[in-house]
Amino acid sequence: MSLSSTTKSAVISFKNQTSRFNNFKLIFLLVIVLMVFFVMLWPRDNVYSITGDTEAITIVFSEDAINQWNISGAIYTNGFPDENNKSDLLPEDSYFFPNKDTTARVSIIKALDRSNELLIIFTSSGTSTGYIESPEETIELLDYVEMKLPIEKASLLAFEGETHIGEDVGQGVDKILLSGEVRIIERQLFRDKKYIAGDYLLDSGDRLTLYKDDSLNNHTNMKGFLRVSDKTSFDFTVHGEGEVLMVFRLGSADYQITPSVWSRITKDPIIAAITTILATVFLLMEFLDLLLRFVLKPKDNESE
Amino acid sequence: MKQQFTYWFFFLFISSVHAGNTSQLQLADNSFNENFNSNVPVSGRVIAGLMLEKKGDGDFFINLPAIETDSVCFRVQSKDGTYRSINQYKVDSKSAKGVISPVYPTKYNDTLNSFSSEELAILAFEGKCSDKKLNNVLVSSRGNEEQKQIVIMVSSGRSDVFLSTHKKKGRKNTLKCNRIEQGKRTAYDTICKVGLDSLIAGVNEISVLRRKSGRMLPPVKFNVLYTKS
Repeated sequence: MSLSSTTKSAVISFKNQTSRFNNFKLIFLLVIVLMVFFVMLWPRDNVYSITGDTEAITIVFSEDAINQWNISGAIYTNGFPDENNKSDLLPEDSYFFPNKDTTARVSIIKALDRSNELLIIFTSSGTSTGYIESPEETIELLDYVEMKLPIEKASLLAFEGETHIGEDVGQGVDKILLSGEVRIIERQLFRDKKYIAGDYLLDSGDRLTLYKDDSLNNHTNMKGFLRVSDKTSFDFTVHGEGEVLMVFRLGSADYQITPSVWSRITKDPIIAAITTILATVFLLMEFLDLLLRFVLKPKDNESE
Repeated sequence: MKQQFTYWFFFLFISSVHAGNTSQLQLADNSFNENFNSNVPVSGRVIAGLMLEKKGDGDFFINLPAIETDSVCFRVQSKDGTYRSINQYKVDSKSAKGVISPVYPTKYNDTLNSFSSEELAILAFEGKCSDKKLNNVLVSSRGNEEQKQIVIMVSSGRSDVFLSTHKKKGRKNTLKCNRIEQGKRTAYDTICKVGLDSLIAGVNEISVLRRKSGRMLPPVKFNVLYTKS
């Protein structure tokens, strides 16, 4: 009789312990799920780094000191080229300083002697596009300026501003992005260090624009440079902080490049460490649970 | 008696104006041609649209002067090339004149409403839709509201576009057009704006000048037929 009651109390105690342990596991699991959601969805700073080879790029200048271009030896037309606006040659040591929101469209064309020359079209909506400073004078520019710059040696044009890389393929379009690669660099959780969250290859004919947020209304100012050489296209590298990189591609719906949540789990070292520790703890708890069941399990004849 | 006559006169006048507004341009054949696809390669004219600047609500309208031909082509297309309609309308030269709405039994009304004023080009021109050359273009609009500017949508192949108009005293006026940089530009890539006050009642000669890779492309010339309402 007393043995039977002891056995019963042991069984009840075992059941209570198992139940408490299961509750603890459930709470632990919930905490893990919440933590995973927190670390995966918490907004981070993303830097988009785009490199490639293009025949066309459009820059809307911001107000930054980097936006000054050496245009020594360029032939320029101030205004619509007609009988009233003749072309002029700029002397050595001439620099172009754009006004804010001036658009520059850069491409490479063939000159009459079949050599390559850089064609830059500066436009603005009704206001001056900027000014040229040469050793002799300062020239205030109109709202449309054409500039042809002979390519004699490799040179760099650095800039900051809203950047549209390539042209979307359509009727009459002959200058496009030739190739490129996008690298997303994301800030680590709780740390100021960064990691590569993804690499994406671009197709020939893509057009890219980086936006600050999902609404796709606010552009990001990107910093970068063009390297002009004797090719008919130029190499570019641009960097900018943003949320969404829009890719306009012929023959497919436009798509957005954003860092994936999965890349945070696999590539952020902090998250990878946290998830590994949590998975190990959970595994240990499962093991402990099995062990408890095995050790404290009342024998069959005792329960009878 | 004189007062009664005046009342009757005004009643008949207002009725006739109302009747004029409600009559619509009828389709030349009864089928309505439109399509909406996620990706349509658009080919066609340099001039993609000519319309009043702001998008109103409701029907399309055409400012129809007394024209010689009995047909008008009416084309609507979205900037991204997804929506396109092209339809031939018959014009009864005796009754159809003034601001008039074409019959437009679209299946995609919500889609059309979702486009902003710069994302939808409307083009109405005298003649057949199959005509190779664009001659006389009519001023169209979405909604029938008083406005100050017309916009001309140009498919320029990413060239720099200028608009040459004749000033009232015979001199030429050259305006710079603006390249669209946002979104997909399959159907057109440039927008030119012209003040309605610079148009004369009747025939306005307009040239679209395109400059590409530092060279001029052949100009595209057409007339804008405009009647002041």
